[in-house]
Amino acid sequence: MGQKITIDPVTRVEGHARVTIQLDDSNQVSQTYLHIDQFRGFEKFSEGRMFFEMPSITPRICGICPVSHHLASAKACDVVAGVEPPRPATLLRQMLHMGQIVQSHALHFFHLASPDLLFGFDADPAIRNVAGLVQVNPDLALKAIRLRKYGQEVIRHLSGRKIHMNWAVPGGVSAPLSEASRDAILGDVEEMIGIAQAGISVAKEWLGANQDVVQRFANFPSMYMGMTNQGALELYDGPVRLIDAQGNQVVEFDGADYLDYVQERTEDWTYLKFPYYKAMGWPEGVYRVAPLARLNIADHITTPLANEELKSFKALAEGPVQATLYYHYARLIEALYGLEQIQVLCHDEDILSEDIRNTRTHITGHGVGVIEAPRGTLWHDYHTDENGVITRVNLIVATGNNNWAMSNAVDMVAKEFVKGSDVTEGMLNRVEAAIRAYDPCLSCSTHAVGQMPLIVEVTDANGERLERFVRN
Amino acid sequence: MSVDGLAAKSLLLVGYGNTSRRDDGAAAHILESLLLRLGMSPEVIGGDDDIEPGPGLKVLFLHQLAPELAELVAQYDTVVFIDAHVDGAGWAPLCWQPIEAAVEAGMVGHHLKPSVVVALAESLYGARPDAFMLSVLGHDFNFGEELSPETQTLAQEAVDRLVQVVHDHGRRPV
Repeated sequence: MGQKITIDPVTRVEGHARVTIQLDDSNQVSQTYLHIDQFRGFEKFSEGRMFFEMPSITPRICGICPVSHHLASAKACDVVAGVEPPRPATLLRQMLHMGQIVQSHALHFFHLASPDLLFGFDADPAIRNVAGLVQVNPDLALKAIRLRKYGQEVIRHLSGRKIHMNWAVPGGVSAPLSEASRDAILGDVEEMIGIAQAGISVAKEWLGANQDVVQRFANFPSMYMGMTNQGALELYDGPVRLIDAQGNQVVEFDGADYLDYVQERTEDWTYLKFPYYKAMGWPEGVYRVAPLARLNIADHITTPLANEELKSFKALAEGPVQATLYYHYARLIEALYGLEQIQVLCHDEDILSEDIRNTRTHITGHGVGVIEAPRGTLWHDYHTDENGVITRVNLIVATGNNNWAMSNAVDMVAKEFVKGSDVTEGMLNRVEAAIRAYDPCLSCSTHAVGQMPLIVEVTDANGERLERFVRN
Repeated sequence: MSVDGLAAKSLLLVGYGNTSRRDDGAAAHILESLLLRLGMSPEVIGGDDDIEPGPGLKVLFLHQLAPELAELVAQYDTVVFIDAHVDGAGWAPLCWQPIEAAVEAGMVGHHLKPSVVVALAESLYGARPDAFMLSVLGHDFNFGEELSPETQTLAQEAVDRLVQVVHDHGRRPV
């Protein structure tokens, strides 16, 4: 009789997720499912609100990537309002976005990924955590916190808040950057670049020394999707490009036309939909997003240090780099780019300008905003009535774009590393690590005490529970 | 020495939760009421702005706890984390309990537990503040910004408790 193992919810992942590992009659993994049980209700929650409220409402979807929602929302609202932000406002929004990229990627690498990388998947859970990191490398841990804090400070200097800002508005931003804030941001950036480079060294060293694991761990071909700007890595604005598993361009399109290119599949075992490339259908049209995808798509990076790292990244494979664990490396290259780009923006002659908002608006009734969030391509699509009251909202969130990839990665890792129903801590941790590599954020959820234990259930093929244990 | 002859100890109040998920945002409502009781405007609660009602007393509200909070926690004698909890957590409806520094694999996420923040304050900065959890039972975690009536009642009891804590620490707003 086949058995089913459920990991519920996945640890170190925002929101509510369960993993069910289905065993066959010979106790081998036959199929693994990633279930997202938390229903996203923000679309309905937003109906009836004025469109210009959306940039301050939608950041509450998430405490980790509020800036991404804030900016995607503001871009959608620009279109709804029929207004183009002045150049200084666009520069400031870009800088805010870079702060977000830096803080989010720093948090993920140093506090979620590095315990696995430094101690190994089979290490005692008592040391395989951030406290263990502090014990073996306190300097790195302190630097990690400084980098995360720096990204947060960039956001605060610009928007006045580290989260839940009310700064980007239809047609621009509500406050300029002061000279003192610009100087403060610039004053620390060189040190932060050094920290990002230190992180890259840690990642490259581990990836280089553990090629046997890297090549066996959710290494699979796929298409990749992300923004570019004439071939350069782009995170704020540009056409969306899709490449195939060999690196050939499949299509490039205006993000506003996403419904012509992206379709979502639903499954009855998860609330999170599965986006795919419409023209190729399901499942041939599945793709991956986020750092690995963006670096596979980009021909070059406009900042010198990150571009040098991109060359090293590209040298890893003939075509796209496919192994899931290289997300960690790609993520840090993007953090380096974000820091260099902050430098570039700080030196732009328009960065201190007070020409930051275009107030001449006319309601168009529809607007789409797209941005490359730390976790991938993020769409906000708003419909309004003639007065600007929201009538319909559609969000395709970054994590959703990687839903197929995460599910596939979990399935591959389970089949490779889970042997029989006697599941060990190391096996479970590998399955979780496959999800964590994509840095998913499912946090329209709550965080109240008592909601996040890890429960593993073993059930037979009929759903009858055979065994259950809880990991905290 | 400070008010009422008490030895003044610095006090940090950290509320966290999602204010768009009703009772999950209970801490924001609690801190707003506290600031009103202390004679301050609560308008700034809702982001993660730091509010200093008086010397040695800081109030902040966060969506969720993150590692960099450890640096701030390390600067205070006492830290009180304020949250909501779900039924079945084994806690009293109005729960006040000490927090011990603790870390575990699998609890190191985008959202840290208070015990992890305290552990980081100790391991990274050598500080061992007295840390406590003040939590109210949540009844409704759906989308919305108002508290459920049951949790609203508990929230007012939590405010009373915090007012006492502020007083016990010899703190008074200026």
